[in-house]
Amino acid sequence: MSLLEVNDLSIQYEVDDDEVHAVDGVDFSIDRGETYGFVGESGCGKTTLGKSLVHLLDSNGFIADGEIWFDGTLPQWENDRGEPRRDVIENDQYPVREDGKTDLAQLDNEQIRDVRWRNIALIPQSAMNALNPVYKVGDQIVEAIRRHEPNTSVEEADTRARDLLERVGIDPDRADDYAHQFSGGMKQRAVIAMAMACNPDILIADEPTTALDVIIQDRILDELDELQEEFNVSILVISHDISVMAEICDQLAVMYGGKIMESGPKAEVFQESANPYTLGLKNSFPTVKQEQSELVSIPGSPPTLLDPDPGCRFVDRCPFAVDECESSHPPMYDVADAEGGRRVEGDDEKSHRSACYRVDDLETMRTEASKEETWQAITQNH
Amino acid sequence: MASDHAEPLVEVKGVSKLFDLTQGVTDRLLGREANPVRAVDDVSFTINEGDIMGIAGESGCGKTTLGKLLVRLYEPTHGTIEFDGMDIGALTNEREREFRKRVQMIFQDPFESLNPRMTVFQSVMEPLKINDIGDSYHDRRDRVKEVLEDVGLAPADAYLDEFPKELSGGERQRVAIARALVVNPDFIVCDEPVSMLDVSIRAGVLNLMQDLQDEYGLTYVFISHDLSLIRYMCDRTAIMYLGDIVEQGPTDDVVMDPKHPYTEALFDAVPEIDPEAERHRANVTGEVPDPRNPPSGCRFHPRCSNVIPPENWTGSQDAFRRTIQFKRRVLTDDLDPEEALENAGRDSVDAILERGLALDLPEEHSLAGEDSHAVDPSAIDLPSDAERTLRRAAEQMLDDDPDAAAAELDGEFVSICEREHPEMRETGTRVTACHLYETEERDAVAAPGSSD
Ligand SMILES: Nc1ncnc2c1ncn2[C@@H]1O[C@H](COP(=O)(O)OP(=O)(O)O)[C@@H](O)[C@H]1O
Ligand code: SF4
Ligand code: SF4
Ligand SMILES: [Mg+2]
Repeated sequence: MSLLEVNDLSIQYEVDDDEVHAVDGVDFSIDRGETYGFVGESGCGKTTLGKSLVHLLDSNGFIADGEIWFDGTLPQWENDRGEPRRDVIENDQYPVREDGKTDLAQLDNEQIRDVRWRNIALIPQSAMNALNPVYKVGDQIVEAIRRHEPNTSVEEADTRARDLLERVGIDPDRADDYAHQFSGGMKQRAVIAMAMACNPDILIADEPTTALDVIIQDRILDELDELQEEFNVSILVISHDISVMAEICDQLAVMYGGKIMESGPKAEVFQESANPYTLGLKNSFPTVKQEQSELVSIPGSPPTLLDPDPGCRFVDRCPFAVDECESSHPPMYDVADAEGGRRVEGDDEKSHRSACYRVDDLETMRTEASKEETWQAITQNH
Repeated sequence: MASDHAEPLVEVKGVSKLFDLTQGVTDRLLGREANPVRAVDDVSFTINEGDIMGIAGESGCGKTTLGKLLVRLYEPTHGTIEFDGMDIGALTNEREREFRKRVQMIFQDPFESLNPRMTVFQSVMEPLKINDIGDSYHDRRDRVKEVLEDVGLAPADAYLDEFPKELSGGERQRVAIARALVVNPDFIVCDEPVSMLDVSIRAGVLNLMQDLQDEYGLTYVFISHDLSLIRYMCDRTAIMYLGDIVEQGPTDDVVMDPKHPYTEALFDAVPEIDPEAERHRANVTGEVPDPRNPPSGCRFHPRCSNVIPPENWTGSQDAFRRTIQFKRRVLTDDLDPEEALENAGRDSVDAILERGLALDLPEEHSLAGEDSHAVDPSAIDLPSDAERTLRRAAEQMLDDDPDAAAAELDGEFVSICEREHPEMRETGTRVTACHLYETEERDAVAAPGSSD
């Protein structure tokens, strides 16, 4: 059974009198111990999505629609065995389902605080810069633990903080160092240790290696891998870097303009890409060791998310667009069916799916998308 | 692309750049003298006409400083740079003007080079005015439009009156490129020119730069921390580490068959997009040290997996690598006996050895059962005299006498890598600064890549 099941989630920001549709009708689910990746270019809604799961949106942001079913519930709604109580499940006032999952989208600020850290921990983008440089790193972790578990004594929290640092490869006695004495890699490890402080079920890591040099990035990715093995924690990782994603994810969703364009098992999304945007993205991404081929860029630039037009989000930059694409954004179609020339909506969130009206013409799209002329043709139309 | 009989356009000869930093907060607190930073340290190389020369390395290794030296935004502290046969540090006024026209630089952040209050037209025309090019306003306007179309901002009329903030990131970088190109230069230094741009936009700018190279007959220096971009763009590549160039040569050779251990680590660390690619994690410990206080000898020696044992070392190379790490940790007060004891419920000297000899490496490079904080010393091929020395030092640490422990180890286990700064040597198609390649006789030592 999945640990997290997100249905039709939409997040908006209010700006003056308009709405920014930062995330729009997104579905996905994460299993225990799995690494699920969201990849996409800046501004496509990745950070918004990650923050919304634990209600950490900026003050003008809100969940406009959708459900976030998490396999677990609040302590006060549990019985002695740690399961949701019958009366809670049966009473419609509580957002708890028959299968024991709780809809995080319906929790209030007070309630979500019990979930944050304990069940779902977020490592924000640039978190390492948020460490206070003139505080001891150990004390900052102790403080974090005690904020979420007020019953833990300082001594206990301190032991745990040192243990956590050691687990992420930092000498425990470095707990007494100030954050400014830490190198970039150590800060990032400390931030990961802090997020693991309350032994969460899900770790959300937003661009966990973006500011780091490649050798340190290599170590942090290794570290995340090891943590996952040790604690069986699920990781939701957000990155703009396709190669990082290729390396660490089990499942992958490609986002564009607030929508998931393609998702499924990593290898399928990469090797049997079935969406024009994914195909274009792959064309434009150089690899270091493989045969070098000419890069092809996607003409134009990402759409504004302010009151978007009804059509496919990619329509302005897509070389395969047809009239239908202007009508509404396409649903997620099953790629296995599409390979057989059938266009059928896919409702299995774990299987390979693509949001494109032309999935039934996959072979043509794949062949054409590898040619530079295909993409250049769009420039001429605009 | 590089041709075989290329003429050198830029010759960099023994160039260093030192920055005298005022004391930082930490220095003041610790009462330390501020050391100057050797941002670029005795670097020599040649850039041939028509080449794209890549400069790669981690942040802070000196890439941007070197780029600014090449265009004379900085003066070298030592050494000379010749451009087309002229020493750029000793130009006459007239030659100086010529140099300013023939050599341009493009920066990472187009905001840095574009004045927000100038329109595209004003920004791109400014260098023409400064260099006194063009006979009339119309002349200049035509030239600006021509360049804008060359960089893919067509029709130019639609862009002339825009301000930078009205453009997308990709368009802004194209304006910055137009501004560099408008004076028809021969040589352009590009410092991380696409790192602010999204992937789908980046490729267009890179391809544009390649096309313009042919059209304008340009020579480029392409600075980037992104090794896949270096591979895509550059004919030749220089790898920098803490102000040194440690390896340079044809890009394909540097990437696919690195000679210097640091180059190898760097390329091992790059994630592969192909899920089936065979991937090794980098075999390197720690992080880039403080450039104000760089290691002696080869700057890379405290992290290097190939550090060379002295002649009289009878144990394994791995054991030597661990031993000098033990030494360094004692000398820099980075080995806490209490912490070691807490973690091991056994003989205390053993516990210190266990901790001090452990390397913080990815699992594939560790010994069985090793983690970053403990390794079984009996699994290490340590010569018995070396082990005795380490044990004596450990005992002194337990006696709460770290100075005696340091004295015990200071001057012991000295590698040539710690003692001598390696010279640049030709190694096949490459030039490499590493003692592994210094003498033919030293061929007993396994060089990276030769074992697998
Ligand atoms: N506080 C905010 N107010 C208004 N718009 C915002 C706010 N935060 C983000 N956005 C917008 O929401 C969209 C998604 O942003 P974000 O989630 O940060 O994307 P990503 O993490 O993929 O770069 C962008 O258009 C961005 O400009
Ligand atoms: S739905 Fe239409 S516009 Fe959207 S990706 Fe598919 S072909 Fe392109
Ligand atoms: S000189 Fe020695 S320490 Fe430096 S890279 Fe070569 S082997 Fe390693
Ligand atoms: Mg983001």
